Amino acid sequence: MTNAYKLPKEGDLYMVIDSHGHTFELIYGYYEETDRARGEPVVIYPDLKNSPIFTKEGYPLVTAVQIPCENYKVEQGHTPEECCSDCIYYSDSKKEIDICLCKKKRKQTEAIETRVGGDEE
Amino acid sequence: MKITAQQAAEKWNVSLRRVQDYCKNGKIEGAERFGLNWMIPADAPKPMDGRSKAAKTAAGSQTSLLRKSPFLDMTDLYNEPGSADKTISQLSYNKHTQTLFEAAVSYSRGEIDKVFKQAQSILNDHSEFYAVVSGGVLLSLVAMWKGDIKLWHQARRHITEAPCRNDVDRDIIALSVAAADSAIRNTNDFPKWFLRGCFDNLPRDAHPAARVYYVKHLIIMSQELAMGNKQMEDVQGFALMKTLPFVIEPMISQMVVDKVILAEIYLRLMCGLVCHQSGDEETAIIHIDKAIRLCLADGFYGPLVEHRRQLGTFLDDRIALIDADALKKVKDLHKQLHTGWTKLHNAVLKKTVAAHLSPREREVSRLVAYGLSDSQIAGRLYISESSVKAIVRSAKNKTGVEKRKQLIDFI
Repeated sequence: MTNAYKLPKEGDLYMVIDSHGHTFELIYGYYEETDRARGEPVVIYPDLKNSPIFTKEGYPLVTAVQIPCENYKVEQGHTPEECCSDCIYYSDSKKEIDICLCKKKRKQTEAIETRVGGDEE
Repeated sequence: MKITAQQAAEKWNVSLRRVQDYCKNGKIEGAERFGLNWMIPADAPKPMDGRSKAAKTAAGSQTSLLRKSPFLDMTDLYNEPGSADKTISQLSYNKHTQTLFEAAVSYSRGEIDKVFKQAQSILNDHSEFYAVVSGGVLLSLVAMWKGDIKLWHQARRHITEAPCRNDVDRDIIALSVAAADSAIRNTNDFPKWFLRGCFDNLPRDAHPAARVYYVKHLIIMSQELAMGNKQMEDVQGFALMKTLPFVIEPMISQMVVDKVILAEIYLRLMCGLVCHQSGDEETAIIHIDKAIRLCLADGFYGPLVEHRRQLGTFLDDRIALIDADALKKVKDLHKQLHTGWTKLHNAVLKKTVAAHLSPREREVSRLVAYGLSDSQIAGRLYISESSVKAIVRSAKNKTGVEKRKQLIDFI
């Protein structure tokens, strides 16, 4: 059996994503040097866990394949798939990069602080 | 302290053959095989004679299926040529085992509609791991003969969703799916641990069937090398093919000693095939003729039909010399199998090619379908967990599935 699929090379572009005002280029590569010896390159997602990016409203951007945090939760009856994209807080599971709507992960922003200050007054 | 099978036979006042049967059937707890000999715990109780009323009562309807092999086709219950029907009736004390063995006999006779009913019955009546896997394997064989891609996917799902208890069960699932796949696509997708010739993960009484699949894998590999579809450093396909009889013939001798007739048939046919393809016609004839005689003793046309595509007129000529009527039956059954096989092969090929999964994506998708977690897959393939997650995501995007387990339909 032959497969007509052509393998991508390291550095090839997989897709360009615009998400909430930020643009990301997803490129083929290797997560670790040891992966290089094991075969074909994979899509490299930005490390948004260690280098977080937040929207103006304070929601963090996460990738679909990100290892979930301690607040990870799936819909009742669904089997966990171990990625942020199947967490109930991930905004749209079909998108490669989207926002996490979990309140515990939301960063306090100036806009929110001002609103809170206004209420107190 | 352990005693030999001979000593146990003297102690229990039964024949050596009966003690060996008890050991093979898993009726003596703690019995272990060392080469050709069985060693039995000295304090092991004498098993009940399965034909007695007491044994039948003890067996009951909830007895789990006997573990003859991980594929539960019960091939090593068939020990004497011409005794298949007698063996079926002797198994009446355990209806489940009887149904499974009957299905193996029906398949060997090319009675595919019967196999379908028997597989359905096993799957409807049982939910234990071995029953579900063996029911799934039987259904996949029916799907191959009928060219039914829906049934094929259903069968594979039964196998991959069988209730695993441990890693050994997962390995058995992996091997069962690879064996089923190899029947229709002739690819060498056996699990890595199997490629190393390691039988440690299989129960000891699994060896006959496991060896048959191991030889099948070796033959596929040598053919792929010979055709240039695969490359291995310093290994040429035909050279490998010429050495295969030296690997297979000791296994055949073992099957003769153990009286596992069906495994002997398949190994002889495969040995005959490699001898014929590498030019050793004399040895090929010896093995093929013996296989034919063993098959015809019980009307087992199935193994001959399965190998007709590769052996061609060579097999036809040998069958004609022994039994001309049998040749007609084999040809008719082969027409049925070939039509179904071609239809299924093309349907599967169309779906898998359309998905354009890369080799790594297929490999990971398979492990995902077997129920492994991302970290387990990363460990097996020696790659990072991040890579596994990226590969699974890519495979899901290409195939359009929402759940990772659905990837099984595309590999």
